[in-house]
Amino acid sequence: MRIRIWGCRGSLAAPGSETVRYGGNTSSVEVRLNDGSLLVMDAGTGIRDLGINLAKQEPVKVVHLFLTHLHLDHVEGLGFFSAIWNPDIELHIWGPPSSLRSLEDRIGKLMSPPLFPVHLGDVPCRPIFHDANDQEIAIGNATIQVQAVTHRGSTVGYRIDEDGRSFAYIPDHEPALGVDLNKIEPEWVSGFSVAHGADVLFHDAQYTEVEYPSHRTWGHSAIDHTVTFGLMTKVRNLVLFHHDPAHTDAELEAHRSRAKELWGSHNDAPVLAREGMEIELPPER
Amino acid sequence: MAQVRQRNVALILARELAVNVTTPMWMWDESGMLVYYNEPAAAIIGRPFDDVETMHLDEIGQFRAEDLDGNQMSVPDLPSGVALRDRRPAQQILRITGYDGVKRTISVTAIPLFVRGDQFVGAMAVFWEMDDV
Repeated sequence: MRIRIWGCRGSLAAPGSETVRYGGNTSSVEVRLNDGSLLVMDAGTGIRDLGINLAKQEPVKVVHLFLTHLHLDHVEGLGFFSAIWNPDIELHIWGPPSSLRSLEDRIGKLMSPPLFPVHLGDVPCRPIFHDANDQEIAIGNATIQVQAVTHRGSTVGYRIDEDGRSFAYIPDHEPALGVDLNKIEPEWVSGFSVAHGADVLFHDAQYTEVEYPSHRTWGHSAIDHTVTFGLMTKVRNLVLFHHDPAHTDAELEAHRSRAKELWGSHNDAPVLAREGMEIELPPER
Repeated sequence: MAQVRQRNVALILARELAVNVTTPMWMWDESGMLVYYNEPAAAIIGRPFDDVETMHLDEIGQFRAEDLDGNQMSVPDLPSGVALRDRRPAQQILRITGYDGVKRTISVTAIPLFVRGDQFVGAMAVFWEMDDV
């Protein structure tokens, strides 16, 4: 599979001269399976550019959009994603369920006046909605594992396994909420099975260790939590994701240095997610 | 495909609640195995959780629960048994004899834990010691 980041900023888009290197668009990640199937993880503002790029390529007939949750920074790009304006595309939208309202109703609230000029029911593409609960979904040769994770509101993490390679995506996650990750047994850690042994993990790293105490329970991780989680789950490549909108490129690079220091000599050191970053996971031989 | 055991996030958060409150609580997974009780509960049960580690619901018969008239209660009739087997809330005042051999009167309220998709993931109960009634 091939992974490309179109947006990795958390909470709010943050364009500007100080966020050029890592980008200001909110979460959206393209995943191309080995058979060419297109999966999109989240519909933050980065999905607009993803859609523009799609138009330059061989047309796709089916798109699977996997939403981790419905906070605005993960869905605000949906109305600007070219696929929803194309009646020839079969768009499947997966997202965490609610006990009260369907995924379609909740997305429909976002895509309706006064928040958006066009009603969801009037867009040319007729999205097909699916609850993404704790389950496994098969697409092509890939299996997508869905699991609820600790964040504010109904939120899931995803893991894509294909041909012996794996990509875990948990952009908004606070596994250290109320626990000491260094002391707790792994089976009691949110997100553990989604991330365990993954070739690549994109994980929330929104706060510094200094910032975290004043943001506890907001649903995000401090860098030391992210590194501890990455080590505990034995991921091969940890990608620090969901950058705080207030963090400049220079500050992010300082955070990466801190993450490397905490990571020690294990596997490849953590890297910062950046717009345009591509990761290739060729089939395992 | 990863097949690593991990508890449902609702159970994880429920346990963290139990760790952080001083109300006695215990909790069970969907298969009826005890997964945790907190220190205040240990004071009533008569042994720390780390010394017990786990037990199946059927084993709570060892606490010789009885109603206030002194009648023995079967496990399915106990609040935790009702929450786990019938998957509905239950409340009762009863007497148990802890590991320390002390008979105590306790009030127990047990609830089943369901998560989205109506998935049953276990049960938890709060209980506290009462003056003998």
